[in-house]
Amino acid sequence: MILNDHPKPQNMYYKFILIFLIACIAQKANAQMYVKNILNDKIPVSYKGKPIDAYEYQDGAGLHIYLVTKTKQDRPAQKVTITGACYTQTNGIFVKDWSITDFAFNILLYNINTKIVDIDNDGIYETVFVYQLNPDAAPGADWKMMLHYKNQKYLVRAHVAGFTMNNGSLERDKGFDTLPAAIKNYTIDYWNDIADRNELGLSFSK
Amino acid sequence: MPFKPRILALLVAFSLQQAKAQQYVKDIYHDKIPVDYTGKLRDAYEFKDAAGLHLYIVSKFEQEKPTNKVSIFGTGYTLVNGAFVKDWSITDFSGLDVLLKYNYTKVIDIDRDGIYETIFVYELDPNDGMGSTWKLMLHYKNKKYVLRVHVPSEDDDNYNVQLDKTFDALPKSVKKYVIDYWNAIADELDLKGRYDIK
Repeated sequence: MILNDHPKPQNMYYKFILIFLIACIAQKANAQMYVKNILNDKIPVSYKGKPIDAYEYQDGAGLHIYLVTKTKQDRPAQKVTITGACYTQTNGIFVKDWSITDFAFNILLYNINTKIVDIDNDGIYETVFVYQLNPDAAPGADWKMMLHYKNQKYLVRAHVAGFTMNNGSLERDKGFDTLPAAIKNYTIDYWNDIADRNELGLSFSK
Repeated sequence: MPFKPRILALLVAFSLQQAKAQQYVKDIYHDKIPVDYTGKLRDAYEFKDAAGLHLYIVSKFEQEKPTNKVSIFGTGYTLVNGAFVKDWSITDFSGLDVLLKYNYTKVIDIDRDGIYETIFVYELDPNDGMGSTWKLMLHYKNKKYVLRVHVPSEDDDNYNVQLDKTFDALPKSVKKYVIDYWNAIADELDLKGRYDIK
């Protein structure tokens, strides 16, 4: 249609534009795998509490939603619950793939540390999120790092000692040993980085 | 619209987008840091805005003798004629510990003037029986603005939240952003040390 307005292109200029546009389209096609933060958007699944971390992402297995919500209860006792869940769009609706729940006096999700990343380059995203239970509590805090790999949960737990005479501890699920080496190494390195930056003094030796 | 102007418009739109993308903020904590710093690196960003290319660096130094002393250094730099020149620097210390809450660092253009503000938050004397002190540092056009909060750990102690008087000289949007940001942190951490605007 556009070219009909100008039946005689005067020079090579238009060809370059065409090539440029094709290059743009090609780039779009490549970008079919994506990760998008939707915390401030409308979240297309139902949930309880307040969303504190939310992503939409597309990979070789389809379109997914990752969502963490937080619920605060003041009575009879103060209790904070977080729920993390992942969904895949199936026939137009989001179906839950996995969910986890945890609770404590207070819970802090470090959403700066959330990763939606294809560690092993198989076209399917892994998710990693990190939270702290009972920050600033006298008996010390507990940290958890959750990896979901193909909808299966793998957990790193750390106890950071507080005032009282208890000791710090660090452990990871035995399941980590069944993971591809790239995933296991990535998770351990990532935990060690978080431990370093938060000055926890609890890192895995390699 | 004839074809040629259309192409021109497309190209102009494209280059405008590029110009906008020239402003950026990049976490360089794991990269080589192009300036010297004292002690251990705790936080590092490179960012570019209308005033040039900048660095924001926080490091921590622990001294054991003659007495235990932990110092924190925060510095802002701008690239001038190929070398990074210091714009501002702050130092704080404690006999116990200083913890930078790097999760709460922000490099952000609050008042949309094309120049980034930096905010970082640290806690002095964490896990101390006497309570701890939190500081939120805003640097706006290389000038420091501090929000100080004492968080008690015992019942007979009180919360104390103070804002530098100079905050009143800031654009309203910037002052409001800082107060809202602190209150969000206090809520999230269950510190109860909110700042109420009088």
